[in-house]
Amino acid sequence: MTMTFEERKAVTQRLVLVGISTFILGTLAVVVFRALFAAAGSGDTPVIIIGGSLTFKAGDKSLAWTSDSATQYHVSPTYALAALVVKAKSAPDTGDAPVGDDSSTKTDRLVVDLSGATSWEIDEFTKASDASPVVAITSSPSGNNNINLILKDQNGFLCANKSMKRITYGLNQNCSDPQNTISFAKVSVSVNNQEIGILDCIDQNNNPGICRIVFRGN
Amino acid sequence: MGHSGDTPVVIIGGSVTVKHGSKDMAQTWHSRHSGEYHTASTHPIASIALKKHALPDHDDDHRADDLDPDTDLERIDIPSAASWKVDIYDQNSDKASAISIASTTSRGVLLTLENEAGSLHQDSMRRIAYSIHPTRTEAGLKDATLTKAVVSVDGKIAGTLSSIDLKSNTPGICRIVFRSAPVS
Repeated sequence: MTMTFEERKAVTQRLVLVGISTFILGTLAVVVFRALFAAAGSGDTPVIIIGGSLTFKAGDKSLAWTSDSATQYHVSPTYALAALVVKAKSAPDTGDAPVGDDSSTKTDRLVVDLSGATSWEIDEFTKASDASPVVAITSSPSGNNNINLILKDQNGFLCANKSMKRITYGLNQNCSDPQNTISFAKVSVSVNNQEIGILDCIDQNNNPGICRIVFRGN
Repeated sequence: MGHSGDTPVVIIGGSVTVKHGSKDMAQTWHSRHSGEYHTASTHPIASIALKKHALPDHDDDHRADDLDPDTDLERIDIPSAASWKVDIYDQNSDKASAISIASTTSRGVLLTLENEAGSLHQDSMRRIAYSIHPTRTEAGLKDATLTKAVVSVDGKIAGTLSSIDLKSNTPGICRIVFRSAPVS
């Protein structure tokens, strides 16, 4: 049985419509997937430690530091901390916007699992203060998801920028120490009051003091 | 072509024992000189991990859990083509390492006695034990308590793994694995 001209025309129109619909749906799916992926990628690194200087950045787009006192700040992510990571490469980072590939596990150099910890503390050391930390970053004693940043060096200072996204450690009130004065050396990681490791501040360029340490959320 | 992964070297805390943890039971340690043992990995070491839990280990068998990144507490990735060295400290040698494990050419792995006052002993073809005494004594083996492992990559210290098992929280008890497959 052969189709009439009108029947062939109708079938062709339907095929074209199906093709156009498939293309539109496919494009929409890609756009939605990319939007979701981008949101997840930028939203799960609540704190980043930037070597070179010693700067603590609220990495999540929606987060900023809140001042509790001149020596203590906190951020309040909506998720618990899962891991502490030293990235393989330390990309330049001088602004408030997210940079680099913090969410990608493929560019991790060193990973510490904090997912099962009831409490944790990350102590930061500079070369000049090898015996005692200058700053500590701790889990909240209240059991919520807050991350506290506490100045430990009684001769040091914490300075926040206007947006409260970046806090710098320094040795004068403006934290305007000459470049290379603050040499970030290492962090010590404790879980449930037990030290489990020390991460040295170094990246693939092998320059001591240059590193990017990322707190990654669940 | 990828491979399913292996753990050619495992450090067992409690004592200081270095085990050949490969799935291939034919893989063993070979004595080179006094205070030196050598083996080869079929693939490059891609990461060194401190496990969350140090289960009892008194035999030569491979442990499947050693390959599972989900049970790692800490992990240091080794870039391909990088050289690496792990210095192992015990409670009696906090200033200088007791033993070291290092990469050599052609995917070789070299276990070296660093503390000349101590000694290495082959418990089996797959297990080498460190004693704090120059000869094998029960006390020398028993008192060798692992305190930390310092991992260097291309001559720079990348990190220090403390000897801790999260379950027991007993210092000295830990399990450190050298893994020859990238973590996906």
